[in-house]
Amino acid sequence: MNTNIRRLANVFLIIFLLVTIDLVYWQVIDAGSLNSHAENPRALITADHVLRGRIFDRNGMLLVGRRIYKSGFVQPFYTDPSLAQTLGYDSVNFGKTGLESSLNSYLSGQTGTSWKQTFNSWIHRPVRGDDVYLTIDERIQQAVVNALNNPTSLMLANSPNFSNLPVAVVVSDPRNGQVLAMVSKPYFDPTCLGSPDGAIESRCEQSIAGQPNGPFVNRVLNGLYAPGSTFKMVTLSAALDSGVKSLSDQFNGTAASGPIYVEGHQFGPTGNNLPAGVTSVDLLHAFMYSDNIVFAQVGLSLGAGRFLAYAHRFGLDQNIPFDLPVSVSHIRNPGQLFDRVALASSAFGQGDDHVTPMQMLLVGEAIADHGTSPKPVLIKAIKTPAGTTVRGDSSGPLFSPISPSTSAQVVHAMSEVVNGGSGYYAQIPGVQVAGKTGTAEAGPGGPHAWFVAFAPAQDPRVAVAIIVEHGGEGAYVAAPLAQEILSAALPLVH
Amino acid sequence: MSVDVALFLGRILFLVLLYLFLLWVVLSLGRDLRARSASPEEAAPGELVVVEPAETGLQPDDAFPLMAETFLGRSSDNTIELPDATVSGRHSRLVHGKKGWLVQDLGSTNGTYVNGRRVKSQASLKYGDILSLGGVSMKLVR
Amino acid sequence: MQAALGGYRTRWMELSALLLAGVIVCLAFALLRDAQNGTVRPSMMVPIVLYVLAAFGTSLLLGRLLPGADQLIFPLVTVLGGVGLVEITRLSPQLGDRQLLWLVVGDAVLLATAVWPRNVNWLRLYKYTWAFIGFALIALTIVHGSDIGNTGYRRWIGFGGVYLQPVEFLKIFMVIFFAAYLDEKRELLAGGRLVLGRLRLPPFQYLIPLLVMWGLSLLLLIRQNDLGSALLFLGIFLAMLYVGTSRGIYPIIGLALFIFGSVASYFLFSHVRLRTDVWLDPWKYAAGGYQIIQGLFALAAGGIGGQGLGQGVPYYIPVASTDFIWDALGEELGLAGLVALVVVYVMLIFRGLDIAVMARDGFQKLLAAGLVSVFAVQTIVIIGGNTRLIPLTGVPLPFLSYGGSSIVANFVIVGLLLKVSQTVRRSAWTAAEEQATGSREGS
Repeated sequence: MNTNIRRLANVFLIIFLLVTIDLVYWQVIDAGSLNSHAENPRALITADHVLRGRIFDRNGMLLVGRRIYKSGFVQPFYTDPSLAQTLGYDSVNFGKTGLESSLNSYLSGQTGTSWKQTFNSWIHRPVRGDDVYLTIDERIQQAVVNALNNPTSLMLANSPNFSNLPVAVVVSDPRNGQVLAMVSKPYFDPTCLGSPDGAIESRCEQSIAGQPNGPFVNRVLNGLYAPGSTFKMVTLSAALDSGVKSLSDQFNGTAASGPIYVEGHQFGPTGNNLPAGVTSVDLLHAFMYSDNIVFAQVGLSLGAGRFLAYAHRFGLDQNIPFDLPVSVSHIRNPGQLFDRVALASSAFGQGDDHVTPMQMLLVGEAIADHGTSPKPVLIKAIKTPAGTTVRGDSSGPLFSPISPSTSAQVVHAMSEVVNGGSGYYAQIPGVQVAGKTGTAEAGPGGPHAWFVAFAPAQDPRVAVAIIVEHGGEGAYVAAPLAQEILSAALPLVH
Repeated sequence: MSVDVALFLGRILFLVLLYLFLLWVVLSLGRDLRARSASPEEAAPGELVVVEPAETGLQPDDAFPLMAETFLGRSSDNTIELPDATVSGRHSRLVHGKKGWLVQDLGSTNGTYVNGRRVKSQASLKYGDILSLGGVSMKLVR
Repeated sequence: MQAALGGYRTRWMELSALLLAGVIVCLAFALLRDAQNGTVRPSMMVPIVLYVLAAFGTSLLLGRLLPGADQLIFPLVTVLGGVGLVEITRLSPQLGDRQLLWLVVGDAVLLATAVWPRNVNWLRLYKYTWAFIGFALIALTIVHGSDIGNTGYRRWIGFGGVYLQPVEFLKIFMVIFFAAYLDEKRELLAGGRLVLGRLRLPPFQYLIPLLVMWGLSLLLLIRQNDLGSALLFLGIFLAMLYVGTSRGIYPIIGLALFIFGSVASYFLFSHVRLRTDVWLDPWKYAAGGYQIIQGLFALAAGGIGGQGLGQGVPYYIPVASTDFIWDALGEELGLAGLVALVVVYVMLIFRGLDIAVMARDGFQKLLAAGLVSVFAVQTIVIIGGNTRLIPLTGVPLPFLSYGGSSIVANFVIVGLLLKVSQTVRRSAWTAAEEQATGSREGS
């Protein structure tokens, strides 16, 4: 019997070992997902008392601060409503959005912590989250806000309703991809969304949601629009880079002014945008005046294969890595046949293209930066409360759609757009600005006004992409806006 | 020292003490196990030689080899059966350990004696000592 | 050092172990009080001090009643009881006070078992009597009992304000019965053949009385919807069959019975079906799965080091003091603490089985092995249920869970084990120790 007893003891021992392994599973291996599970009541208790990290601009100006109540509850407050969608909010009832969401683990002190922070959590002292420093320069951000709030008489003449129109503006440094300003209008003040009082929070959310034009949307990153003539930057780059066309190629007569017929579909004469009396242009001037007829033909010459390939290389149909989610831009609707009519229309930005302002910024940056667009960067650094940097900025190249020599030619073309073409109102005395206008058909309400630019043309320090929804003509509404913004930004960027 | 740090240190101390306690238990168990692997069935260096058989039916100079643990008494489930009326059913226990031989009285009626001196509960035995159970006597030899 | 006052022997090893155990549980209690109140005053420590004093008293009395019994088991039990007392006090001070009362009563019951019956073997003479007393008690509860635990079934009998669950004692009676029966019929079961026509099978016919008693118990338990205990009985039956017969065929059949029984009960009883479904996917069954989900959250919150006694939030687990004390401890003591407790249980089981090995007669061996199996299977079943290894059953965790009947019954088990250990073959080591500390009498 003794051997059986000993064997029984071993059976029990093995079972207890299994139990221990199971314990290790729940308490160590799977503990992370259980601890952050939505139904776990502990998450709320600890979250309330975390001294959540703050967010600053690149120069240390406070963007999101902390209001600490006596009960221990910590509420964030926001100093600049124009960054609302970028910064996001942290609400018990409505969840987290923007950077408050994507950087939550740093802000709540769960990752990127120093030994002292970990020790504090062991002895149940309130955890302090890490502070985030953005690449945003608040001075430039405010310059954009100012420009939007003080439209020039020219802009108002062409867009009387300007002050109520949704606008998306993004400003960056094309050398390293750092985003210097990002405005999505309409915006709001997220402070009341973090209120400890549930009733106040609900009223707040309702009043914001009730505003027209959807203020919660980040139009820079997630607004999808027809690019209009700004897309000619892509078409021109493709044509020059592949050698299909050169800037001196001539277009005469109907080839310049239209009408031309593509598979029965008529293009022009509307949309040739030529000044009165001009009947023939070279490709350079067609770009300067933004001649749709010429570019339809350029697209046809490229052929669907090459055209789509270059669009893809500029970033369309691709995920753009960023600290916030960016919607994917499309050249065409999925599943739809890309026939010659579609090719011709897309070549001047009026096919089924849908792009985000961020995508067009990247196009501009690729051209500005010798053929390679940098990865867009929003975070400059993340630091522990003690000041140690736990994450630096992660800049680097992203897309390389064209060669440096092609980019030099397109830079020249874009400079001429500003000097003598549709970008006239973007001129800044003493600085060569390069840019491209766009006026995208957008159904009732009028076309969207676009402008993509960078300056100084030969050694660009600042790039900008602007869209004014239903703003009218890019030349008269978006270009002047760019001029104000670039003038303010250039002295601030070295 | 603030309360939270004290509590933290206290928690560590609690776990340390608990594991020390367990370690101590494990070591005690282990010690027991090792000692017991010298199983009681193993022979031990010694024999009991009959001196006074009384009514057991044995003869003087009859010898019993001893185990590490030997039970003596009248009942048949003893290691050494001594069927004499003066011997209790379970009379004594003789064990051999690191320090030699030890005899225990298991509550017998007429007592266990070593060299004539009564054993109260247990006593040590050297070679040459005379062990008496009731009327029966035996000598411990090597 | 050995005082010979009428057979008293000071249990030094036990006393020193109890000293360390006492420090450990007092420290735990102090940490709890400190976390709850920010400071510790002596008046707050009264319950744990009473508990430790009771333990010392018991050990001192055991020096007279069972001087030669094992000295490691009681300190281990004291640690368990103390840690359980701390956590139950944390969850509910009223339950904590009552648990203290039951633990002290348990110590007294331990001493009572040490006194009576004088010889453990006497129990085997009345095996059928014990079994029927157990059945009678259960029958009494069916007819006349109360349901103080809100289980939907009457499982308690009350005498003057005190409520006990007879099923805890039925387990012990059954073990005594099985041990006595298996010991008697050992040769018959080992040898012999049942000849059915041309088939030669192991002699199952001798198992029939055993099966009848076991079956009766199961029926009673099923009638009471106490399926956790039914599961326990299966496990104990299997373990004792394995130990008691030298034929492997019996436990194999037992295992087959178990599998058949489990599958059948899944289809027969909606209760079992619900528990099994909840076990397989607790998140789908918000109501039924709530308990185990909160339990798992508690375990995860504990991580490796635990949140600290009084510093976690285990009260989110419904009915934590009885069903989920393990997970509550897991939140506050962490993996480090739970592993230590697992080791305590394993030590207890091993020591108990050691005693079974060292026991001299068959009945005592089977009794000890059976009692340890009750303890072990119960612990495995409830920890398994708490960690989602098996479906949840309403069985209390020995010495840690709140529950008077469980504590008293487990102290009876400990008492019987100590009695058996009093008469086992003592190891050469302990004999040498006695010689070293003994007063030299005789030449």
